Amino acid sequence: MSNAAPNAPAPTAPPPVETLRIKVDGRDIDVPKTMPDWQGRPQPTTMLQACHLAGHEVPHYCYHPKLPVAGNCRMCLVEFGTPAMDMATRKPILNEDGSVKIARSVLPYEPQTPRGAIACATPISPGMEIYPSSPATKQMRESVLESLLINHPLDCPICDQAGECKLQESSVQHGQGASRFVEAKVHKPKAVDLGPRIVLDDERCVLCTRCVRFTKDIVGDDALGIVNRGSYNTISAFPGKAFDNNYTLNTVDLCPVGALTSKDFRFKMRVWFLKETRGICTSCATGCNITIGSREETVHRYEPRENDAVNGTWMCDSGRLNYRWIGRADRLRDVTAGGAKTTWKAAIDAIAGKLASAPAGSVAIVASARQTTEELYLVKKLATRLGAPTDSVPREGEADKLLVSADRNPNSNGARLTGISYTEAGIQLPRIADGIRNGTIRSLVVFGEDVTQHGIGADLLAKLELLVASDILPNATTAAAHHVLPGCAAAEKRGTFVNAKGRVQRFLKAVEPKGDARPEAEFLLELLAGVGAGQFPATAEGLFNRMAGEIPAFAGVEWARLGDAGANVAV
Amino acid sequence: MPQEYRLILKHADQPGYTPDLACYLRHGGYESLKKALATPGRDLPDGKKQTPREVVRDDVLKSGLRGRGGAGFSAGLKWSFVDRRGGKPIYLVCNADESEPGTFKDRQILHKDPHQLVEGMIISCWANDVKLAYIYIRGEMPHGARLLNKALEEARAAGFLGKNVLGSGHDIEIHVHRGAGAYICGEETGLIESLEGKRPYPRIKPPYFPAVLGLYMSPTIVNNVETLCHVVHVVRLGGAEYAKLGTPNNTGTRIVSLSGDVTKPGYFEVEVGKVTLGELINDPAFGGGLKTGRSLKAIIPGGSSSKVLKAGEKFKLRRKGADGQMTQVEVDLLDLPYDFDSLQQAGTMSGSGAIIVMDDTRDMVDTLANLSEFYAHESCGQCTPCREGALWMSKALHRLTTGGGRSADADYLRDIAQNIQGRTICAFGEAAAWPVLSFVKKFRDEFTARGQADEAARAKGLAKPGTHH
Amino acid sequence: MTKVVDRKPLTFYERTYLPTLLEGLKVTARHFMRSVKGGNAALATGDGYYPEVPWKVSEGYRGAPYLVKDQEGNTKCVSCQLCEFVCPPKAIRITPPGPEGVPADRPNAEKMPREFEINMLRCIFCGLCQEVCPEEAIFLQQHYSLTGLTREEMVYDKERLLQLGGVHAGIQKWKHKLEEAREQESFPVKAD
Repeated sequence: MSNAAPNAPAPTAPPPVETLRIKVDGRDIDVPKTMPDWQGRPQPTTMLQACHLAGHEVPHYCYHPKLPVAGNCRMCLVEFGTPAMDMATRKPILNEDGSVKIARSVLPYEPQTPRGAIACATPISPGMEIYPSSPATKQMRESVLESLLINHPLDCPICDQAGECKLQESSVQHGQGASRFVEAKVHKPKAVDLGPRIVLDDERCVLCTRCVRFTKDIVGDDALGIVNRGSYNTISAFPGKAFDNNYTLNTVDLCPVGALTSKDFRFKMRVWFLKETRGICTSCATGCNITIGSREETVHRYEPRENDAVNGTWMCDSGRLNYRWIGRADRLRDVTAGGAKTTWKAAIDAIAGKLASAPAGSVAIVASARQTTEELYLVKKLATRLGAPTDSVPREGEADKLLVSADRNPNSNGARLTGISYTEAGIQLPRIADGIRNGTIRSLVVFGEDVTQHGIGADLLAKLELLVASDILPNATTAAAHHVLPGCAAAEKRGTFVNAKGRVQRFLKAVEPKGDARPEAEFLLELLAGVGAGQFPATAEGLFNRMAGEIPAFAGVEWARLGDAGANVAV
Repeated sequence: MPQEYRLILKHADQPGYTPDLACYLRHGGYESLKKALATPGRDLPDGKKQTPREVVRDDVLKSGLRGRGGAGFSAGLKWSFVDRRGGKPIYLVCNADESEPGTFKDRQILHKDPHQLVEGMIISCWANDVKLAYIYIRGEMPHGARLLNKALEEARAAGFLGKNVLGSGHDIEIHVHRGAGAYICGEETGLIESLEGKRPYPRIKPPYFPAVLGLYMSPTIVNNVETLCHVVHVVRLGGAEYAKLGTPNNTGTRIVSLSGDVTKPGYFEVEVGKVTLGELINDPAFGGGLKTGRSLKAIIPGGSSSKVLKAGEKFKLRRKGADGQMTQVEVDLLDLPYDFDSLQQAGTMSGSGAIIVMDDTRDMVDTLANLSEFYAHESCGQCTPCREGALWMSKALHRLTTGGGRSADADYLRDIAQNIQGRTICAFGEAAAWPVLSFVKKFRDEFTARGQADEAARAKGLAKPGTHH
Repeated sequence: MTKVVDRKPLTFYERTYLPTLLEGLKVTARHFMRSVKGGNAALATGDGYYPEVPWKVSEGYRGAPYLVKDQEGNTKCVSCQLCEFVCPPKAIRITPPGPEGVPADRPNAEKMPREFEINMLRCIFCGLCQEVCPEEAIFLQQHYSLTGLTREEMVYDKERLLQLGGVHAGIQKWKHKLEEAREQESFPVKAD
């Protein structure tokens, strides 16, 4: 049933994965011998990974699949047993029924007490039996949790982590319910200013060292460490060094409790009120997958979403904090004609009329690589119908070693693939400017960019017979425009972006547009109908599938296939 | 009549014995090193050949030498775990971080006879293909560090250390590294972390066994000062001859540090297992007995981390009878032979060889409170049960000693300690938990009585409960 | 067991309904004479009729919810928003202080609501907000008669809620925490 060309060699099957048979909670399971570690390299499978494959989540604080193993919280202790070996013959001892006798791991000095192993760091062995639900395991978890809670401050009502706190969740699932601690708790500094974006509360810290390991091993900035000894262990920035790299806010995501909190999100909103929408960051071409946290019509925060093909579980601070402008008071809200508020129908009719009657080649369109691929596709349709030259605006910055791309536009590849821009974005802009100067171009439609900053100054704009600007925030171009069509931020519409590596990723709508603003794709459909460029599907799925059918690079990709992780296209 | 058998400390306390090289050489120093370097290879009965180094290592194994630092693990067996095929350099570290409360034996060697340690280390380095070794000495012994450095200089000048040691073709260098005052630096992986310049957070095992992934992630041997000195005598006497000292499976001699309520506290070197606890405490050759009019209450037999033994306790020990069969014999506390296995069977351990004697003037609650403060202070803080539990127990005991006790506190302390042992990264968890478990178990009535008295006083409005640490 | 009901046919007089009317008038007349003489049913069992005699509210009565201050005049509410979440009709609306927020007016508990509104028209007086509050900051008190002329004036803001709530002497957990921190000798803490 292959669609491959005849006589093409059959693809070789991947080598079979070597497995071990172990028992988890009394049920046999075959588990791969090695599994990827935090760096993706194959390492012997740990008990925690094996339990996860068996469907049992072992609770943990210090373990994180993307960080090196520390093994210090001791929350993942589980009871286990291994096949009993006859020391003389080196063969396993058998029970009467022929099954292998299992020796449960016990304390060597107190053989009636089970000894647990930390599941995150202990590799499995053939015939091992793991008991993650036994009374002994439950007691071990209870006692570790009790130890953590005795010095933990009663800050839940004021702590930002409430509702997404691992300690709260474990207490409900594995805790004792009542405290028997009658001594004084250990007190440490609270609300410590750890850097420009982070607040540290040392009392809440459970010393899992996730933040230390992340900052040292992932970011490469050895800025955090522990000072003092014993129960007075305190997380601290290295004396004299600032904790201000571009990834500090990831430690807030990592921190299982409310010790590290974001200054930006401090006391802003309780997390259980936040609606979580799957989005894509728009600050650079990496296209980190994000979760938009919003309540009613306000976006409160961005958080990274896991996508191993793009950003792992991280995102940079500059992208994360780049949402506040969505709620700016000076957002464009009204459709205007000649500066006065008007309706969408009137504006679209007027614009369509003028564009339809304009001679071919007298209209130019400047689009933006911050628009969605669907919008750019429709813009290209418009350009083709009008014979208009098009381009997008380049935006460059400095790349870093981790996530940040040098290209600061989220959809440069989308602009290229839809034919809006060419080998180099912005290469056509001087030609458009010349066209306006010498009078061949008399109408200009601008989407989402301030062209006065990119070679088409206010004097040139003044020469135009028709200037239509669709944008989100006011700028010099919208001020000069005959018609202003208010558009939407990415968080206010649905669409896709194609990132630097050619991954097309879709994002969904989190909040309603402001005022009369509409998603650009919506009014572009009306404009296209108005200039006689044809009908196009109105749903996001229909439009994407139609577009994918027409662009060769998108062959085989459908909206339904995109899922939460995206799909690759040829760039 | 039991008496000392001075092997390590044979010359150290003799009048006129000084720590310099000349004095050491006059007393037969470095002869063992020469003997070791001249050891020939050997053919084994199965046809395999043993290199000279393997012969010496085998000899150490056969001698039955067990670690003198606290764990009592066979030194020869520990040496055999080293990964010699990985291609990485092998390191030897001497653990001179003597911090177990009650122990003061290593300091005698370091201050009075440092060359014996140096010779033991050089022999061990040669036998294990080690080119670079360290002596990690606790920060509180600055004079010891000075003496060691001087000894190393002398050894280098005489050709016992450095390039091509005594013409053997083997290079050995030893450096002294001073600690800065932490008990946890005596834990082997904590020591290695400190040696690497980091905080002494012990490593998780698996996978960081020192024999495979030790110092700088290379195979490392960590041995106690006294153990390395014994290597000199194992080589000098030969493994089989050395094994005749002491008792089967508990060979050789060890230095015992005796302190507490005895008339003659001090250090004594005895053959392992040939002297009983009672003899060590009461015999005029050793402790000289308790003070006049006092009776024995408790003994901590192996440094404060070992479980306490109560006066009058009887133990069932497994002994090989005259007919060769294993039988159970009932032994009184004072008749316990001072060796590794007997004390282990008695439910405690001989640890670092430090015996602390307590007579009937000692209050067990106050004693335990004092001990638990040490463990609360010395916990490194890496793993949850010990970090929180050690200070919790100390605070609870402080409450008990300042009028805030409750009659249920005996069970309270026992529960906390039970939740620490066996759940930590290193043995400090056991070290912190065992004193509490054993004191509460064996002297429960004292804890309960104190708790009840405090409750009664509070009910009458007399005592104010103390809750601060 | 079937029960047979004996239905007697009405007599002529009964069919005119006059006897029934007269019985009714007799009852009215009896009550009329009684109140003219000065007694009334309410006085027979209590102090009299409401609203002349205000109703004595029993303990545990769920009246209007108000915010309270502690014995030192500090606002107890720390803006945890649990009451907002649990309120079944969504009568409570809290504006958290946010990062540039209102600094707390009391030591050690650094969070305080920027605004706290309860829409008394939505409130069903269920008491879940009081039950869920971890700070003993909101209590259903004794007001049962709430009226207003507009919907807007029935939305009580934080100032009004605090004014109506009064004082509730409680545990003062944050104050004790600060004292305990200051007393800790072995680890210096910058207590603010």
